[in-house]
Amino acid sequence: MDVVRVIPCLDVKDSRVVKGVGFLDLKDAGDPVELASYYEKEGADELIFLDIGASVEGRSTMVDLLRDTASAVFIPLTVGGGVTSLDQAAVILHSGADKVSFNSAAVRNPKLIGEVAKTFGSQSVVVAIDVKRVGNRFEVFTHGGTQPTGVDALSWAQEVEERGAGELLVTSMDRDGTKEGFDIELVKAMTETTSIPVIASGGVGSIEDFVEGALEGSAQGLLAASVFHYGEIRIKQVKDALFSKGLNVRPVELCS
Amino acid sequence: MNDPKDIGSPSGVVLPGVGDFGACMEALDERGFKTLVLDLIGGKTPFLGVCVGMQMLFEYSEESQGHTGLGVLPGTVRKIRNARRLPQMQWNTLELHKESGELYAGIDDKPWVYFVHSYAVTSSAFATAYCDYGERFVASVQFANVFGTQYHPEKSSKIGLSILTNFVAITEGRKL
Repeated sequence: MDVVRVIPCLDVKDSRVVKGVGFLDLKDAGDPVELASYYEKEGADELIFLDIGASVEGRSTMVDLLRDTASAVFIPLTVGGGVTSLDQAAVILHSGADKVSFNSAAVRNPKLIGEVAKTFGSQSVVVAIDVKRVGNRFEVFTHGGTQPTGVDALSWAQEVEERGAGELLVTSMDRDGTKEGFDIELVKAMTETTSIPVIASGGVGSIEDFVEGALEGSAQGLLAASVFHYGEIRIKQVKDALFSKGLNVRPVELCS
Repeated sequence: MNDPKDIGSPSGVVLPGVGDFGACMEALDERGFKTLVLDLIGGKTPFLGVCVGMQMLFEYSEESQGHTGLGVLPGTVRKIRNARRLPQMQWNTLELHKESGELYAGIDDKPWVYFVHSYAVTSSAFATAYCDYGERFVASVQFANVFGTQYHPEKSSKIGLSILTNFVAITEGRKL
């Protein structure tokens, strides 16, 4: 059966989780390991760490962070943010991450996707695509949505699949941070264009938004950050809503 | 672990495996681990193959036509048919065999576990659990001291840890 995944995303800088997570009753809300454990108990199906520091110093602390997290948290971990080479991907995957996500570097050097897929398997390669609507088409943007590439997002999605990506993380930069819901047309176009799993990202503000992403967008994964971090929505609520609409989810009760 | 000699006589062996079937078999063979694994299995050492580690227990895989597997179990690994998306990269439930064995001691029926794969074995006399994704496939096997899971117990949260704890108990020869 097809089962929808609910995926919290944590922004990490120099081994600390940034973007306030003050709501949680945690000793240290910036501690990635503690937060990851919390989300595992909440019923998260996977976790994504986005390295927004991505400095040289940040890289080495990411290794320690991953080792600590992978020895305490037993759900799949994806790491993205500033990964530019096969060597960096190797370090990340050997440190405990299950998947590594490429964004700008894949656009700059599409061969990288194939290199990592050949070495570590397609299942370890996520390509993150940041998309903005330009006129009546979807365009790939890089560098946090600041730089246009002129590349059509749907053609790019097909290309990265052919090159060996195992999953797509599609973020609507138009919706990101707006809480207006996913860009359903974008998600739908992506799932129709490709045959690998698609994670929808950007814009979630309500439980209904999640349901829409899975039901109308046909996304395999639903990513959110702030609504979870601020405790506005709990994963169990999302899964209950998905289940009530006939979608399969891993129940939260069984994993807490 | 780079040298088979470093292994000594273990009480149990876990063979993980991600990526390409052929590449995994080559990596195993290159450093002399293939013979070691076969010797350990033959010597009744508890063995757990995970994901491609389980697939390698079989004879062949569609993924790498030029390579043969360990051939401990009869059968061919093939690409999953009728799936809407590949790889299957998600949690899914197991349909446990009536006698699912020691690996599932204390585990409730229909446990949720995490899968990442595009290939699988569709049937085996040694299946201890099946799963459905487009088609029904073998989710785990057991033959005497040899265990295999197509899913990743190490990524399957609490249930996965129970399965691994059961395997450790098997290696310690404890009654479950």
